[in-house]
Amino acid sequence: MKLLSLNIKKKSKFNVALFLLMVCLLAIGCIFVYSASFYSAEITYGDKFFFLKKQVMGIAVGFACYIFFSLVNYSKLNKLRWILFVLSVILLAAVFVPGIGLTNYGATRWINLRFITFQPSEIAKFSFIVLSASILAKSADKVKSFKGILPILLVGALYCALIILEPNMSITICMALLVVVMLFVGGAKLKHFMILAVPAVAMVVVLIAIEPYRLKRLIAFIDPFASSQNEGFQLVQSILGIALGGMFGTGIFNSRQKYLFLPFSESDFIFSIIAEETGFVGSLFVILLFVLLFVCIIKVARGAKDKFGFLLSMGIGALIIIQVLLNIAVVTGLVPPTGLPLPFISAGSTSIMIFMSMIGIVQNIYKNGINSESFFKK
Amino acid sequence: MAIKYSSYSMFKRLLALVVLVTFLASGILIRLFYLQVTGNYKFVSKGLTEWLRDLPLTALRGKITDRNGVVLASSYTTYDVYVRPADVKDSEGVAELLSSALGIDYETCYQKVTKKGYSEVKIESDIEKPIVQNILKNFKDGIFFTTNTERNYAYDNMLSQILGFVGSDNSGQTGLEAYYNTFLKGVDGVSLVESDLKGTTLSDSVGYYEDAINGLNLKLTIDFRLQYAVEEIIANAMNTTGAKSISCMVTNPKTGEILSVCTLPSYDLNNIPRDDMEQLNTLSRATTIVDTFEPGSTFKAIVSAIALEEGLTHQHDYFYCSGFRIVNGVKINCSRRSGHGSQTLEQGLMNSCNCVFMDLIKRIGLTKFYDYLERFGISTKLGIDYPGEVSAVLMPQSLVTDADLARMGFGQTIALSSLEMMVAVGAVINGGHVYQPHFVSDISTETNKVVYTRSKTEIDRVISDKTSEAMRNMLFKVVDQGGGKYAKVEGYPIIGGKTGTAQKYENGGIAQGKYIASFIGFAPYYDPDYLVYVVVDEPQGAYYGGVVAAPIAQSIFDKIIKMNEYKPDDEKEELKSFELPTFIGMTISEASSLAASLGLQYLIQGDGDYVTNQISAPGTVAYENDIVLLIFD
Repeated sequence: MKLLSLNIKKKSKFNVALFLLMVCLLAIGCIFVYSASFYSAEITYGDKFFFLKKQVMGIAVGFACYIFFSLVNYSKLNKLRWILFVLSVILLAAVFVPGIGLTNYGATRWINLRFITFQPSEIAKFSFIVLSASILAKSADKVKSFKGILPILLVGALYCALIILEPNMSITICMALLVVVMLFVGGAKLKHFMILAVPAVAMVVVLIAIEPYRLKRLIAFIDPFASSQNEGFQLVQSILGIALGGMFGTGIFNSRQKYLFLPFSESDFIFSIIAEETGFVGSLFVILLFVLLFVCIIKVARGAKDKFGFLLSMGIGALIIIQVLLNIAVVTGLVPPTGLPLPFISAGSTSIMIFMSMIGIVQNIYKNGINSESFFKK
Repeated sequence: MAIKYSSYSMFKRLLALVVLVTFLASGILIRLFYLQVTGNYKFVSKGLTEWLRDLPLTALRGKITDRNGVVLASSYTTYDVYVRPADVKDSEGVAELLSSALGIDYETCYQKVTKKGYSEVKIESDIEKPIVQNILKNFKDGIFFTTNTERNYAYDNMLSQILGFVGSDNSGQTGLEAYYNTFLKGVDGVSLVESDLKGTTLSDSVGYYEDAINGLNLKLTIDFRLQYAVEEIIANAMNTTGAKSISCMVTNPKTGEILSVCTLPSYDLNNIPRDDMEQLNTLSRATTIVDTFEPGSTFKAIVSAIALEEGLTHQHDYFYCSGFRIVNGVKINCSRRSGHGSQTLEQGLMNSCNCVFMDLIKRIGLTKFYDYLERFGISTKLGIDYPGEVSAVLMPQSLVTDADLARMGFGQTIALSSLEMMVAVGAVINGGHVYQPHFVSDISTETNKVVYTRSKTEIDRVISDKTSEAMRNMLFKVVDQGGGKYAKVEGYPIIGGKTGTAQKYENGGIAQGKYIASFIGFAPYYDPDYLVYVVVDEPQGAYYGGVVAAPIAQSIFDKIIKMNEYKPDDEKEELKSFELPTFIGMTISEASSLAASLGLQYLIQGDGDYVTNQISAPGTVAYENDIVLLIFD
C-alpha cells in the first residue's frame, strides 16, 4: 500500500500533459524540418539530413536542460536573477565584438563558439522573465506606482535597445510584448500602460525611419503581390504554399515550396510548409497543440506555491504563445514579416534548448506546487 | 476562503490574457481557413505559373505543293541551344563541347555556362539538326534545345505574290500563306515540367505533355511544269519588251482552276526585302487579282457574246466603219482612222473595229449591259481564295452618257482585274458557265489524309452553248487570220483569242506614250482546256497587244501544246517525241546523263541519294527540251 501511494504521489508530481505536448511538438518539428530542408540541404551542403541532424542534436542537449531544470528547485533562479541579468547583457554586448559575433543576412545576432552558434537574445528573453517575475513577486504593492515598475521597464528597455542594435526587430517586439504581459498580469495600473504607449509608438516610427527596408517591408506586406519578385517575395511564396495545402494538404514531404521557392522554410517559415503539407486540418491541429500547451502552463501557474512561481510560469507560457501567434501571423500575412522561430518546431538549436529548459522549469514549478497551497489560496 | 485583492486582480488579468490569446488564435484560424479553404483557388492559380516551366513545342507549318505534289513551300525545324547554369555539373566540359560544336569562342561560352542568377542562357540560335546531333552524342547535363520552324520556298521567286510570306512568328502575312493560315499553321504543343525556383527540373516531376499538331498541306491547282515555263517566258519578255511589268495568268476555263500566275518583277521569298517596305508592297501585290485596269479591245469578246446571246446580231451581220462614230455629238475614233468599210461581225473582231462594238453596245443598252456585267462576275466579287480581291470600277449607271457607253463597247471607261477578265472570257468560251476561280484543290494532313477537296463552283450561267460556240469560232479566226496572228503556233491551228491595247490614265488624264498591251487566248479552240491572259504594262517601242502580248502568249501555247500532245494539222513534226523513261532509283549523276542523252532538262528537289519520284511519270510522252522534275527524298 505504501509503495502504491508513493507511486501515486510521484506520478502526481509530474505533469504528463506538459511533457507529452512538448514531445509531440518536437516530433512534428523534426518531421517538417526534414521535409522543408532536404532539397535545399542536398544542394547547399550535399547532405539532405543536414538540418535534421542539427535539430536532433539541439533536442538532445535540450533534453538534458529539461531534466536539469525540472530537478533543480526553481527558487534558485530567484537568487540567480541578477547574475542572469549581467550574463545576458554581457552576451548581448559580446555579439558586437569582432571574432565572437557572427553576421548573417546583414544582422549580427549570433555568438560563434566554434562548436556551436547561439543567439544571446533568446537567453535575454528568459532572463527578463526571471528578473521581472522576481521583482513583481517581491513588491506586490510597489507595482501600483510608476516608480515600482520602473526597474522592470529599465531592464526591458536595455534589452530592447541591445537587441534592436543587432538589429533584430522581431525579438525586440517579442521582448516589448513580454514586458507588457508581465506588468499586466503582475498587477500594474492600466493608466501606466497608456503613458508607456506614447514613447513606444514614437520608437516604432523612429525605428522605421532609420532603416528604410522596414518601410519597404511594411508596404510589401499591405500588397505582397505587387512586389512578388522583391520585398513581397517571401510572403507571396508563403501564402501560395499555404493556399496549395487546401483542406487536407499535399501530403507529408510533398510540399512544392520547399524547392527553393520559400526562403527560411525550415526555420521562420516552417509553419507555411506544415500548412501546405497537412492542409487546414493539420494547421488547426498544430495551433491546438500550442494553445493546449499554453493552457497547461497557465494551469501550472495557477497552482504555483508562490507568486514568483506563478509569474515565472505565466511568463514562460506568455513568451511561447506570443512567439507562436506572431510567427503564424507573419507566415499567413496578417502582420508584417519579421523573423521569429516557431517554438519547438523551427530549426534552431538555441531556441530549442531555451524552450525545453523553460518547460523543465514549469515542470519543477508543478512539482513543488501541486501538494502545497497555491498562493491564490493563502 | 479569503482571496487577497492583489491575487484576485492577478487572477482576473490572467483570465483576460487567456481570453486574448484565444481571440488572437481564432483570428489566425479564420485567416488560415480563408487562405486554404475558401479562397485558395485564387492563390493556387498564381502559383502554377511558377511551379511549372513551359517548354514550347512549335508545330511545323504545312506544305504548299502544286497539283502534282511538287513542293513549293515547306517548313523545317531549327534549334536554339540553351544552358541552364543550375543544372550544369561540368562547366568546363559543357563550354568545351558547345564551343567546338557551334564554332564559338570558348571564353564567351564558359561565361554563359557559369552565369549566376539566370535560369537559362541562350548560347546560339537557328542551328540545324546535324549540329544538334553532334552535341547530343557527347551530351552533358545542363544543355537543352528549343525548336523553331523556318519557312523555305523551293523556287525562290516563283509565285511569290501568290504564295506570300510568313512573319517571324511563323504566321502567314500575305497571299495564300495568310488566306490559309488557319490550316497551315498547325497547333503548337505544350510541355510543362515541374521545376524548382532556379528552373531545375524536379526528379519526380509529373509534368504535362501535349504534342504539337503539324499544319495541314495545301495542294494548289497550279501546274508546276507550266508555271516554270511561264516564269521563263515572262522573264525573257521583260527583256525584249522593256516593259515596266508583265503579268500572265493561265486557267482551266472548264473548272476555274488557276494553273499558273506570274507577275514580274517579283521578289525572292527566301530573302524578302523587308527593309524597304514600299518596294516590298509593290513587289508583293498580286496585280492580277487586286488591281484593275482598262482592258481595251479584249473586252470586245464579252460585248459580242452578250449581243449574240440577246439575238441582237449574228456572225454574218454587216456593219459599216467610216473611221469614227458621232455619239450624241461626241466624235469617237476607230483604231483605223481611214475606216474599215463594210464588214461582218466576225471581220469586225478580226480587225478590232471600234465602230462595230459601239453599234453593238448601243443595241444592248445600258441597263442590260450592266445586268450582264453583274452576272459575268465583273461588277461583283468572285470569292477567290486569296485576300484582297477587287471588283470592277464602273461608273454609276445614272452618270453614264451615250458616249461613255459607246467607249465601254471597246473596253474603255471601264476597269477590271485580270482575274475578272479571265472568268468572264472563260464563260464566253466554255458554254456560258461562270466558275469561281480558285488556287487550292485540296487540303490534307501530314499523313496525306485529304480533309477538304475543292470541286468546281458555278456562280452563274450567262450564255448558251450556241453563242459560246459562235464566239470560239470567231475568236479562232482572229488568231488564225486577224489581229492575233502572232499568237499562232505554226502547225497547230487550235488557238483562239483577242488582242487589246489600252492607253493608261494618270492623274485623271491620258498618260502620253503609256500603254497596256494585252492578249487573251485559249486552246484548243473547239474545246478549250487552257485560257491564257498576258498583260504587258508600259512596253517600250511597239505597244500594240497583237505585236507585244500575242507573241508571249504564243510561247506559252507552244509549251501547252507540247505538254498535252495536241495533234498537229499535218505530220511534219519539228521535235521528236518519246516515252519518258523511269529515273526512279538512279543517283544524280546517272539521272543527269540519261536526261542529257534524251535532250531533257531536269530539276532536282529534296536531298536524298536516289530518285524516289519523278514528274512527269514514266511512260508519258515527252519532247526534247522538256523539263522533268526529279525528287530525291
